[in-house]
Amino acid sequence: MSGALELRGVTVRYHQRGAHGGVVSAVDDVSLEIADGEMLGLVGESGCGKTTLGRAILALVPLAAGEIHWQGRRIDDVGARRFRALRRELQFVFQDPNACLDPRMTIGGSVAEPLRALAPALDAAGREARVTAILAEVGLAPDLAGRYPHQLSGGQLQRAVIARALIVDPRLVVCDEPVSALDVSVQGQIVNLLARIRRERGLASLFISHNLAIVARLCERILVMYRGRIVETASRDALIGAPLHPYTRELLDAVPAIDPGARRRVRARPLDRADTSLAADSPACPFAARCPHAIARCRSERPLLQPAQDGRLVACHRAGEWPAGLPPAAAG
Amino acid sequence: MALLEIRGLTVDFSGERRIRAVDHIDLSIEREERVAIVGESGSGKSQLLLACIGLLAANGRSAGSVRFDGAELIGAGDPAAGVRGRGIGFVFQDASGSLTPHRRIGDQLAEAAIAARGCERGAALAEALRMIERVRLPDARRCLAQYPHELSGGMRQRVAIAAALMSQPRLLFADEPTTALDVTVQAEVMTLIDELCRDLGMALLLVTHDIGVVAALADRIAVMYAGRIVECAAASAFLGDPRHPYSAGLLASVPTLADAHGTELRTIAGSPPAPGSAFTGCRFEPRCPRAAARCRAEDPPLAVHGRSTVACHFPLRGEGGT
Repeated sequence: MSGALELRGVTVRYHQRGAHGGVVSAVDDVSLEIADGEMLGLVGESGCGKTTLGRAILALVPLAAGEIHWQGRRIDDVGARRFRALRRELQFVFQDPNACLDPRMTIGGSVAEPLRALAPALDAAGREARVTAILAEVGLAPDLAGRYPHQLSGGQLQRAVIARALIVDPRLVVCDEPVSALDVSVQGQIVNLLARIRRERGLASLFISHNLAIVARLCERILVMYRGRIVETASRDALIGAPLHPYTRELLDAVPAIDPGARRRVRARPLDRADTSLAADSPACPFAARCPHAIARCRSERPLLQPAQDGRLVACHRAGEWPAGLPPAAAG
Repeated sequence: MALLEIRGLTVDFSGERRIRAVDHIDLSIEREERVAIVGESGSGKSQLLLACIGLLAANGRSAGSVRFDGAELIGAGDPAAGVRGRGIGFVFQDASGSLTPHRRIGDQLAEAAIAARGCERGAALAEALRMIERVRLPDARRCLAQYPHELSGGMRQRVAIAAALMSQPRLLFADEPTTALDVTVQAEVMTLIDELCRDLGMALLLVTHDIGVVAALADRIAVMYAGRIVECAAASAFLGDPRHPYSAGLLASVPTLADAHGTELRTIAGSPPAPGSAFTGCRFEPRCPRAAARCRAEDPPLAVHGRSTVACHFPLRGEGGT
């Protein structure tokens, strides 16, 4: 299968400031595909590189290695001017609506802005018609077009940001933590809206979040990222029902259960100091320091992403020992 | 007598117009009890906490009564100063905010014990070391000599918890203590707070927007909406059988893995009222699926329904969260 979007060995490096001045691979040799109309989930914690990966797809950070192909064409080497033409096709929704909306511009003005830049042939009346239609699509009343960001609630702002991304009719949207800043009662509204938009528009997207329960709600295929690398790729059902990587298990255990009387399943273990550094060239498995299943081999040899059953991929030396998946951690 | 007794507590902020953040709250916490206040942003939950320990912003005013172990904390002349960081310890969302960036962690922890209990410095440092070990930070000795910026977010929050415990408080206030942390670290920090409360015989008042966080450790849960408590019940009763439509909606909208199969998330229509909104009837009425004419006209008082205390004219009746 060849996807609408294909990443091959994408690597992004940052130079650390300060006296030590090392190089950190924020994204390290990541390959993935997103099919037309597919919403691919990407889960990981802060600092794992998921946001950088999303930005790399949109050419907002340069690649140190690897290739990105869109509809069969290579796009990572086209240069800023030619990438501009792709901006109509590739859009993004970020976590903080306030960072995407100019506080001095009306909502209607902000939503119409991409049209002015990317569809200059359209006249004012045409733009206004598009704005009205797109606000309706994301569930915003037409009179909100004349308001300013500070007059809207968090949920309304995020709807406006989604409208701004959709107004140029993109074919792929990178959504980076689009609901994390919202109240619980509003979060669901936006999750449901994104699911509906994807269904109705047949839009491809990469949905990035630290919340596995939300990703699982939206995406049939999920990638788990840890320290810049993909550690597991599986269908939603396989990932939830039979996680192969110990980190995936840990993420699953961290999703709260709302059972009365249920205790959270957490090992009260000390934090490992190794958790805090990104030792780029360590030969060890990056998860070994905090892995309850680590053996000597894990500390001397980094596991590669390998095919497992049912077309899954996992980067763990011991994954073959638990073909039925890792069971939840014992109650503690 | 309860350890903390809040009666008719009201918090107002002055400015272009007066904003009432907390509106006549009653709540008591028994010795060693763990109470969680759940509410969305702007519900007044954090201001309630801050009012109790006299840390409101300069334009904030509290009225009513808060008694800690019988002593009144509300009134002129900062009467809460004597319990703040002593009888009542506190941990906030942003750990770096409660730690001084330019002093070593050991000194900061020791200082808390010296200020609260007049410990001698050597003894205070020894205690700091034990406390760092207690919050499960590896290499405790080295940690004492470090500065806050040298630690990760999760480690800093553990240090902040350790600092709060140095004065041996009988009540710990924790405001969103895990919100800024990664999901796997969140669970660990909550487990740690749970353990410490048990081991030290400490009561807990936890404030959070995340019901998932409190489900595992609170004895009692109070839900705040627009400055009021709308439901209060034992955690087991609340989680299995919420009576207020808002509580039920909140519980249903927490995404879990159990029903992940592409179904729509349950939501509550609309959004919370803006701070300073005026109300005639029930504050939740505009978003409530059960609202009737009476709800628009008449503000429901808190009343006992089943195992809960609920402010609703038409509470749910044991319908299991639907």
